[in-house]
Amino acid sequence: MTGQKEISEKKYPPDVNYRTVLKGLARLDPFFHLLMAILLITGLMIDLLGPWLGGWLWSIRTIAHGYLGALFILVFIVYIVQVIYSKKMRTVLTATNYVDFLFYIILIITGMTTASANKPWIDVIPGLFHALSPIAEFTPAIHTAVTYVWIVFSTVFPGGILHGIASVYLISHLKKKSKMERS
Amino acid sequence: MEYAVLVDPAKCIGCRACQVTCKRWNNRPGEETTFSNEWTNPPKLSFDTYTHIQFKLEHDETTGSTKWRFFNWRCMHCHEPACAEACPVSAITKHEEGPVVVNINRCIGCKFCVSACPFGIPKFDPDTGKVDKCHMCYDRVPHKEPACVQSCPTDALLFGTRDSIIQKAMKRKEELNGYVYGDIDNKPLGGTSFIYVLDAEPSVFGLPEVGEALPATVPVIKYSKWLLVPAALGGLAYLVSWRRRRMKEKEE
Repeated sequence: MTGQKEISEKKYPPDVNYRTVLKGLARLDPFFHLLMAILLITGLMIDLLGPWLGGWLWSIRTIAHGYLGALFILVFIVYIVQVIYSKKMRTVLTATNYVDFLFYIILIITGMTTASANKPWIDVIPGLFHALSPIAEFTPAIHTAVTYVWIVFSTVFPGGILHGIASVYLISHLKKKSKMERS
Repeated sequence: MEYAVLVDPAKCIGCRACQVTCKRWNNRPGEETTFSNEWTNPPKLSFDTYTHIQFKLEHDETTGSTKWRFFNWRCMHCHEPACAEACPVSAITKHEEGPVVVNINRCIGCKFCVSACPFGIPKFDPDTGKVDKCHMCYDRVPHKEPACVQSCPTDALLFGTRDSIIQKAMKRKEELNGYVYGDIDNKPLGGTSFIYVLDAEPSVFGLPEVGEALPATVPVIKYSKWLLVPAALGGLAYLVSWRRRRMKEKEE
């Protein structure tokens, strides 16, 4: 019986509690999407509720949109490398995902450039600032507009936000159904 | 009533009294100075330096003579400020009297104003995470002239109602056979509350060519949120079709 692995049977539906959810989020894929969701929500908060919330948004902009945005860039790089090396090419095989990745890249570059204006990144990577500074004038506009274009795209096209929400609904619906059948 | 300041670089002697007075009135700390060929100190505008005299030594090769030019950089206090339009939290306000003021308590340090300003005036401070700039002493105007104007020993800065300042600018323009930047010859962003009368072309002083209308990037920031409408409609259509499909599946 050499070379044969015993595969444990997976429980369906799985146990869901706070511990399992947190454990799941520690994985790269959900962590990547969690960061992305935080950045999207905080960005929308700033743009849509800014005139009312004003200075209350300072920490949200600085920490949740700024520092987490910087972390997102690093996670994005690791994510792309993992997708390519693990040969999970199905992740990028839909047109929606291709365009999504293109949007992420634009948002990352414009976000970094906007953040670079007047300091931060200059101290760490001066060359980067000089490379990005010619587009600094346009980056806030591109960053904001591309976010909304991305929302339209991922709402209307399959594989986007609504597909995700629908999948979550279906899974929870199936779970309820199986519970009822068991009882 | 709208007020304005006339800046006449030809009268400036580079004493930097305006810089010092500005710091004292606004209680801003001094900055480390640097040695450079131009003697400009501090080298540029910053979160703590609202106004700044740029020194420029011009050499005329035909006559062999040299000439100092001193130029007062600060916020121009535009009539339609791009910074205020770009600010997502309405932290920048154009006052009726002319000043464009940053409400530091509302500022979230997003730097949209830094990118929007064609003159590169608002400055970000990484320590406080906020942006600030000259506010034209809105806490003094109109009862008192701005602190920098009060300190100028040569009347290179003059304060008054906008109409009176424009009249003085036109008169001085004739004397100098020069240009008026901020009104008359060039009205960046609808005109500015700091009006410069120049004895040479604006580009000699490093002033950019700025159109009367807002830069195209500002309306994009402001109105792109309307894209949420097609997103919501698209989402609704998706949900309706999805529900129909589910109902059909159930019936079958």
